[in-house]
Amino acid sequence: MTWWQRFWRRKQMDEQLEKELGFHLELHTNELIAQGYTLEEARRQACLALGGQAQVEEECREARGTRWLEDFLQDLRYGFRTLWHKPGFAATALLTIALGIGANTAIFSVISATLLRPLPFRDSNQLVFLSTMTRGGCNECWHGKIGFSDPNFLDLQEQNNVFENMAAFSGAGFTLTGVEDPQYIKGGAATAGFFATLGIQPVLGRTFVVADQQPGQDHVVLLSNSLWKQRFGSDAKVVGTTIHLDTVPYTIIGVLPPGSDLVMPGHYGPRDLWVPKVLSRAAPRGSNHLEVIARIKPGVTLHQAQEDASIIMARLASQYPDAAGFGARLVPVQQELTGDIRPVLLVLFGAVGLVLLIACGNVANLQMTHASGRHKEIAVRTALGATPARIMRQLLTESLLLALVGGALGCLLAASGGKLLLGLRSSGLSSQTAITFDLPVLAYSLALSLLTGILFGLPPALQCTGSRWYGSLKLSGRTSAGEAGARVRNFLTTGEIALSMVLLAGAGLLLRSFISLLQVDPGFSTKNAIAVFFALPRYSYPDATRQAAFYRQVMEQAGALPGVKAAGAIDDLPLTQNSDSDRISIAEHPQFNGEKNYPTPQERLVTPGYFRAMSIPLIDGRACSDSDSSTAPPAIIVNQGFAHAYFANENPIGQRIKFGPPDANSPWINVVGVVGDVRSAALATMPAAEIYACYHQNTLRYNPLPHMYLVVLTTGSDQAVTHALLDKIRALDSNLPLPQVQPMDDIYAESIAARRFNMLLLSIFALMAVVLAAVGIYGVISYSVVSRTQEIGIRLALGAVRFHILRMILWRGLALTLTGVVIGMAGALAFSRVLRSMLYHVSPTDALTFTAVALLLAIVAMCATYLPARRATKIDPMVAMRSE
Amino acid sequence: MVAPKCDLPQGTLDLLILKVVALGPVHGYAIAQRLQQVSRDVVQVPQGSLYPALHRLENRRLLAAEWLETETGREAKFYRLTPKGRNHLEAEAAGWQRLTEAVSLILAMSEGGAH
Repeated sequence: MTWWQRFWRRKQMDEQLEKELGFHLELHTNELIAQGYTLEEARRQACLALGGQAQVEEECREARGTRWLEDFLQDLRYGFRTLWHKPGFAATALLTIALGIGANTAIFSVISATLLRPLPFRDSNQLVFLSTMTRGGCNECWHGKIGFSDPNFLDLQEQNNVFENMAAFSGAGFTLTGVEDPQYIKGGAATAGFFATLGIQPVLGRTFVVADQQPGQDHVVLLSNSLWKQRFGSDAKVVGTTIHLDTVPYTIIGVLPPGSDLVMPGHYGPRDLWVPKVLSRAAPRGSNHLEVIARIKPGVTLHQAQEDASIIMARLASQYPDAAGFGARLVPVQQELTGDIRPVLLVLFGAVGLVLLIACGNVANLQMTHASGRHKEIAVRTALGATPARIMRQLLTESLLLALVGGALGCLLAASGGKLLLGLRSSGLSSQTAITFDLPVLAYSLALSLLTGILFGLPPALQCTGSRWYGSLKLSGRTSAGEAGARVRNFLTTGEIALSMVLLAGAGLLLRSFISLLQVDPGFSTKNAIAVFFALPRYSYPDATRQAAFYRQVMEQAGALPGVKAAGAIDDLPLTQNSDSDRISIAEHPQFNGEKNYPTPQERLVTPGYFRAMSIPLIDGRACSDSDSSTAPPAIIVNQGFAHAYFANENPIGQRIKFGPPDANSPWINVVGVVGDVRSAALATMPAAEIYACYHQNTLRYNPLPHMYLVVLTTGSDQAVTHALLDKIRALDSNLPLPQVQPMDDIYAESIAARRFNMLLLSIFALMAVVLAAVGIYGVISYSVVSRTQEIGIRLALGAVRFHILRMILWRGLALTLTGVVIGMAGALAFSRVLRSMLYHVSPTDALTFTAVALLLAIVAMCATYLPARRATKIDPMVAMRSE
Repeated sequence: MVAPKCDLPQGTLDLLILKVVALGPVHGYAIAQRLQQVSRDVVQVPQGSLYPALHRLENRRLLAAEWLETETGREAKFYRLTPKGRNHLEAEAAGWQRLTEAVSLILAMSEGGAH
């Protein structure tokens, strides 16, 4: 029999044991009778020889080796009964634990899904992103850095010794045509090695081969699994058939597996389909637009790979003048994909950890108060032969029971509230990341519950079972266990207040940041403005002239609609994370045109009505007008930031700039106007130097016209205008996929959604912490009042003023609170340093926030103290002195 | 019962039980009696520790037990040796033999023989 069977059949085994011993006694008794003893005497002798039947039975049960389990079950049953009879205590403790474990499980489920779970690519830790770095430029600003040019990529691919596979890819927008409802499709273009690098095998057909990259043979397409399902009904015979993208026929060569998307939130999302990327050796080396991914050879370290890439880039820079100033940088894919969300998650993880610690402190406190009433019970058990270890085990079992039930409740809480965490999407949580309560999350939750149970179970268990442990805490020999317990309770309460102080300060700083962010003047008005995003298909609008003509028509129609005040378009709408910049030269200021430190303003293309539609003030000169035609002298408008930077003490109007170096073969362009600064990149980012070109005479070195945002300022009837506008657009071109319309207010809100969400989440956790701490201090003071009832009664009988009693109790709470606040202050200073990147216009040591938070905490704590303190003043001395 | 009695050295009870059981299936009371008789009452078998020891050996699968009828028609729990128990007994018995021989050799040493 295994121990499990022995445990399972213990009832039966007990019976057999009794029978076996009975048989033994009977035989012995009979023998003794045969020797001449009386029956009674024989029985006594036999029992004596055996050494007490009950004791032998006990020892035999011990020999079964299942004793621990039996004890455990017994303790468990006892624990259930104890909790059942104290529903108030049980409910408070369970709720506290459920909140703590629930918050932790929820945050961990996100961490597990993003930071811990490997990417859906083969050996994803060998995968790296490569980006070009520009010397002296803004290398570390954000993810994009910059991509690779065709020839630089091809050279790096040929010359390196460290990559097993290397591939380039870029975005490519298409319109799916030849169907009833033309659909705008997010496509990607990739070189042959792309899917091999990621380790993705198609579910149907094949992926790209080098031959597909030859111009003329590149009209093949790979479908994503989702497009295959939606548009082609998961048809297995789809390979070999033809679809039309921008009216050009493409042959379907394969279908990709589900969940194989490379997604970087805010930079590139899931693609509906892929076409081959055709590269050209003749492309300029300064045109860096390729995203590059590579798989490092086994046995080669990231550092070695980085060295090799840097050497090759340095060699290219010395060979080709237009490759000068570019370096390469390798970043592991996992790090790159989770770079934005990682610090946020770690801060939240820290926050829920603190909440759980406070919860532990609270439950430990509760249990100690609760356990003080159990001294008699434990004394009786000890007298009956229970060892301290045995009693400790029993108390710990009760704690573990609480922790496990609380943990299970917490998991339910997390599962139901987990959807709230999808708000993290705005912080850079990929929409491809599924947050699930899988095995690792449940295992984490279970382990955390057990740990929690031990953590909050140990102090009360030690308090009950031994003066030995407390002996070391005793300051004087006369200190009773009760007083030592009070000291531990005070310590726990102070700790809770300190931890809440940390969380509250963090939440306060984020709140202040958010408020200062809301007070930022973006430089434009979102009120009553709507944005319409156009993606003009190349097949209907093949050149800039036709594209511009389309927008002119749209704007004429829009301007004539009732309820429209102004309408204008821009290529990169502020707060949408789109931006372009280019090198320019300034005619009258050669000192700015050095080879190392030339101006690279943000560049935009606008239509005449744009500044009015966005309520961007015209400071000087004029805005673009319809007279700025392609034949008129080129005109450009700069923002105040540009004017201050380059024309500080002179009139910017009439100055001349050109794109590229001073000797570039591009025309000099007149500055005709100055407009107000706009927070283009983000609300929290200071306005940069910007220039606006006029759309009819696009002087930029590329054509952004296919993708423009139309901004319409209405008199307030957004809905009606939107409908009328879409009708007009449909009338203009019925084949155009219907553009997306979004209120500017939404774009504004989206741009700060991440900060808002992080602030809210941390505030919720801080609130939980404060409530728990308040409950904690309330419990401790209540208990001290109850245990001092007699003393207070005597004081009152001897003539103490009730107000003094109140003051005495309040003082005790205040001392605990102030100690906690001061300790918490130190912790908060450390925590806020971690928060630095999430703050805006608030110092991590902001005195106002810290003072306000400390005050708030003190007020809450004093309220929690006041309730039991008032009860102390109502004590009737006669009753109190008689009470035991 | 005049002869002086010896307490069993630690761990030898298991060995003795295995040896008795090796002679054939036997119940607890018979084991106690057999031990006492064979050792001519020198070995004091503490009956109180006999049963826990039997159960321990059974759990370690050195002994197997089944309920059988005695000659008098009563049901009793009879223990017998398992193959594993037999191996264990042989190993333990050999070990014990070596130990006692060594101890006797040392005790038989004449005074001064050590020099």
